[in-house]
Parts: sequence; structure tokens; C-alpha cells
Amino acid sequence: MRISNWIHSLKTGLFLAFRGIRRGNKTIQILTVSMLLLVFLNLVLPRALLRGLINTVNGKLVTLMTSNVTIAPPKSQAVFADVDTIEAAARATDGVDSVTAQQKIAVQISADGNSTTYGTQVVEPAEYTQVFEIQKYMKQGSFLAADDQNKIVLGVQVAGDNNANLDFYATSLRTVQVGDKVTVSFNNGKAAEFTVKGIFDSDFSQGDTRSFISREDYARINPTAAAQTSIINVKLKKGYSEDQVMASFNSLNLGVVVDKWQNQAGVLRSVTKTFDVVIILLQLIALIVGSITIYIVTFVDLNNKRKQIGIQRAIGISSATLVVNYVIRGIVYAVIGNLFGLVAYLFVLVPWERLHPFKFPFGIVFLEVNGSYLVQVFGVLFTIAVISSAIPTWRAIKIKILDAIWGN
Amino acid sequence: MIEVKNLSRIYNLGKIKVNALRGINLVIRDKTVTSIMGKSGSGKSTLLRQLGLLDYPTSGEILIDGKPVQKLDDAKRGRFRLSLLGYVFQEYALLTELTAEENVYLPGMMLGKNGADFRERAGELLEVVGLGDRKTHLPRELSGGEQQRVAIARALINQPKYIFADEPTANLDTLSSRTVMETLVRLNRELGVTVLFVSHDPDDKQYATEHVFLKDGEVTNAYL
Repeated sequence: MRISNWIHSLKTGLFLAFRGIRRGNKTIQILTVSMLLLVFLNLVLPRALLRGLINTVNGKLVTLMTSNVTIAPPKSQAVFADVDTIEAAARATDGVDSVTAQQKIAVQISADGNSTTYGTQVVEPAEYTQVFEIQKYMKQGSFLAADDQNKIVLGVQVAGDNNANLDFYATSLRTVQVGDKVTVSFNNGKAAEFTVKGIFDSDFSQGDTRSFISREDYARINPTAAAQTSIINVKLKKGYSEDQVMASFNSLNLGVVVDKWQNQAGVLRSVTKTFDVVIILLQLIALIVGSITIYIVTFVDLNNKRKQIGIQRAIGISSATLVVNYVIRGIVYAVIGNLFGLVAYLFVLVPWERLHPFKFPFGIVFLEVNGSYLVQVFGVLFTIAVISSAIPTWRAIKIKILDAIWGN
Repeated sequence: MIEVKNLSRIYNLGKIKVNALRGINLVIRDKTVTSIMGKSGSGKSTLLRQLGLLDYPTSGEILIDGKPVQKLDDAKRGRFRLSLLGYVFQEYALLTELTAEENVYLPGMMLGKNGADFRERAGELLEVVGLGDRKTHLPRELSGGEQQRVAIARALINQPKYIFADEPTANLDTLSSRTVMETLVRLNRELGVTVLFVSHDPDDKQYATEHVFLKDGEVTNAYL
């Protein structure tokens, strides 16, 4: 076919498509666009929710438990030989925002006949609150300050907080409130009375089983052990990746074990990995359902237009024109449906969910807004629309003209 | 001129073979109005569809202006129909999403004629068939007779040499039938278009200058 013929075919196809869209059955058009809108949302929503859940879990993990990067002593040692040097080196590394050293010690906390053995974290309060955001989750009271003496901060799962609905209430202190006294028994045989300064609730059961005392207090009870540090947590500046900072730090060859938060996630890592698999499965199913739905709708619509296609062929309209005609219709419906889906998602669902967020055991979950994924969905549905329009049109074109016209 | 040589069309309906056309020989001269008449099932519409390149014969030859066309592929047949033939169906085969004027000028677009020209011509043709004031109406807003006249105007848009009309008045009332047939005859006289029409109504014979009678797929009489 000559190029000029292709141009005439294209022009005629566009003419037929836009006339068809303008004058076509409005109910069918609205249903088609609505269906495409739902397919779009079906592809976007479950992923956005699960990704939001993963983001919440990961965010809490980093800001409450692991920090971005952890530095541990060499495997042959339980504690750092010279923690100050390592901390200083970490602080000097490009991309590092703040650093804190801590150690977890085995203790028993008792109050009113109840006791817990979750252990406690020995921290430098000022440094700790730079790296972590525990202070944002205080349910009662406040976090430790540098000049506190014999003060302890408890996670809600440790304190119990008179809330029998807590996940670990049975193994908690059950009724402890801010201002109450608790007895902390250390592994050197000493015990001391601490006043509960604050109770935090991060909606993150795993993190809320922790408690905190200051290094200064611990030094009074166990001066030798207080100087020991088993882990250094590093918070990164925005725009820096864990791998980037780890590579810089490792180049110093300090003989320590540097790891990123992902490897510290423990059971949560497998949970998020499972979520990732679930997301892929849901997307796959949504994509298949979406493709079949679009195909069926287009196929039924084109089947109803078989006579019209037959007439067009009988008067000399070329196959290319017919394909252009129906593919353009498919594309227009897909673009409109996707745009409505996008608008509904970005300007209705997401803002609404921001006002009424979903509450999960891990905390509040916001729908993820991922521009590149939205563009991908747009592209995929666009392609499906083209294929779903082209195949039935091509099949309709292959039918004998008279059969198409007489509906045989 | 159209020459038909030993044309046969056999339909295979399962194990049954139906000989719709049996060795038809025919010559249609230019600028004539030819009626193809016969009872229902005589093969007249089948013959017209072969000549209109809407179907493939089982055997035989069709020469249009000396060119054998029976073996052309679909794409070439489409171009041939577009430029040389106009076809009017028994049913009002208009595109429902286009106005009367758009239905008429659509085949013109395929030939890439100048937009303004073919719109103007479509308007003129609608005037010729008496529908100058119905240009912007959709098919559902037109009567059966009006739709058939739009179909005739459409068949003329590319200034074809031949118009084939397959029982164009079958679904029309008497007045509309007369208007449609008179329109075809007038087009023949004024534009020199060769018209072939199929009819089972003996009254339509009056509109033709040549006559072909079919019975059981064979030509029984021809007054050419």
C-alpha cells in the first residue's frame, strides 16, 4: 500500500473513531470507562495498601529499632574495644546524620508482684533521640533526659498500662503508670528502684517490649559493664543510601561488622518479603482479570458492530482504517478510564485515606503514592486496550463481508 | 462494460451443495440500466454480489472494463469497489454513527479527495437525491426511503462507473420505491452511470433498458 493510502486510511480511521465516540451509545461508553477505572484502581489499590503497610513497618523499624546502619564489634568480640574511635569515625563519614551507642542488658523489672524479663536498653538519651524517634511515641510522660537519675522509660507492652487488650499484657507489669516505682534487678546481683518517667506506645508490639535507662544510671550500678557497648546505630542524612555510607565506612578498615537495617529486620524482613510476593500475585491476578474484562467488553462491543464493519468493508473502507478506527476508540476509552482512575486515586482515595487512615497492628498505614508505578499501570492498561481492540477487530475483518453484514 | 463468462457459484451447506449460479454468460453495456429479475432463490442477488466483488465465484470469469477481477484479493477488491463501483444494499446499510452527509462522503475520504471538495460533492449528491435539507440527520432520524437515497448518494461519491442496487426498494413503501428507482434512472441519464439492479417486483422492469431473467441460477431470458 502506498504511503498516501496509509495516510488516507489513518485519517479516515480517526474520523470514524471520533465520530463513533461522539455519537456512540453513552451508556456503553460510561460503563466501559467505569470498568477501566475499576481495573486501574484494582491494579493500584491493593499494592498501594500493602506497600503502605511495608513502608510503615520499615519506617518504624528504622526510626524505632534498627536505624539505617548498624555497627557491631568484630564477631570474635561481644563488645567494642574502643567504642569512641568507632563512633567518631562513623560521625565523620559522609552521609551520616547522627550516631548513638547502646547495649542491651538482661534485667528483671518488677512492680506490684508482676515482673518482666524483656531486658532493657542502656542509652545516652540525647544521642539516642537524635538517631531514633522514640520520643514521638510517648503515651505518658516523656523520654529520658541527660540529667535524669533513676528514671526508666517503659514500652506499653512492658508497663501494661491497665490495658488487657495489649498483645503481651499477660507478661507485662500490667498496671504500671508514669510516676510509679519499679524495681530493676541487674545480672550483677544488684537491684535498684527506678521511677517510671514515661511510657511509649509505637503501635509496634515488638518495639514496645523495650525499656530504657541512661548509661549514667547504669554506671552507678555496674561501672565496668556500663562502659561496654554492643552496638552503634547510625542515622543517615536524606539522599544517602545505606550501601553508599557503608562503602565509605568500610573503606576505613576498622575491623567492625557494618550492616544495613534490612538485614536487622529479623522476622519482619520475611513478613515484608511475603507481602512483596502477595503484591506480585495480586497484581498478576488484577492484570489478568483486567485484560480479560477489557477484551470481553471490546469483543462484545465489536461483535455488535459486525454489521457496521461489514458495511464499511463493502463500501471500500480498508482493513487498516477499520483497525485504526476501533483501536483509537479502545485507546480513548483506556486513557479516559485511566485518567479518571488516576484522579479518583490521587484526589479522592488518597486524601480521604490520609484523613481516615487504616489502622493496623503495626500502626497507621497510608496508601503509597508511587508515580513510576502509576505510569507503569497506565502504560500496561494502554497496551492491553490496544491489543484488546486490535485482536477482535482483526477477527471481525477476517469474516466474509456478506457474513458480517447479514450476521452469519 | 462488464462481461461474465461461464460464472458459477456453489454454496457448501454442510454436505449439501447448492448451485446458486450455473454457468452464467452475460454482457452489461456501459450507460445502461439493467434489471436482474427472477423469483426468490433464482440467484439474482448472488449474481449481483459477484459483480459487485462482495463474494468470490466458484468458477468462471468476470471482466470489468476488460480486467479480470474474480481473483483479486480483498484489499484490491476494496480499492476497486471504492473507485469504480457503487453498491446499494437491500437494507439501508448506513453507518449509524455518521450523519447523512458524513455517510455520503466517507468513501471519498478513503480516496483522499480534498476535504472541502468531497463535502461539497456530498451536499450536491444529497440535493440530487432530494435530501439537501437532511444532511446533518443521523440514519435513525431518516425514513427507510430517505436512508436508501442516502445510500445511493454514497454510492455516487467517488463518481463510479457502475452502480449495483440489490433490491433497493424491497423494504420501502410504493411512493418511496418509485422515488428511489426514478433517482437511479435519473442518475443514469444525467451522469451516464451504468446501473444494475436486482428486483423481484415486475413493476420495476419499467425503469430498466436491459433485462436479465434468472431461474434456478441460470439466465432464462436476456433482453440486452
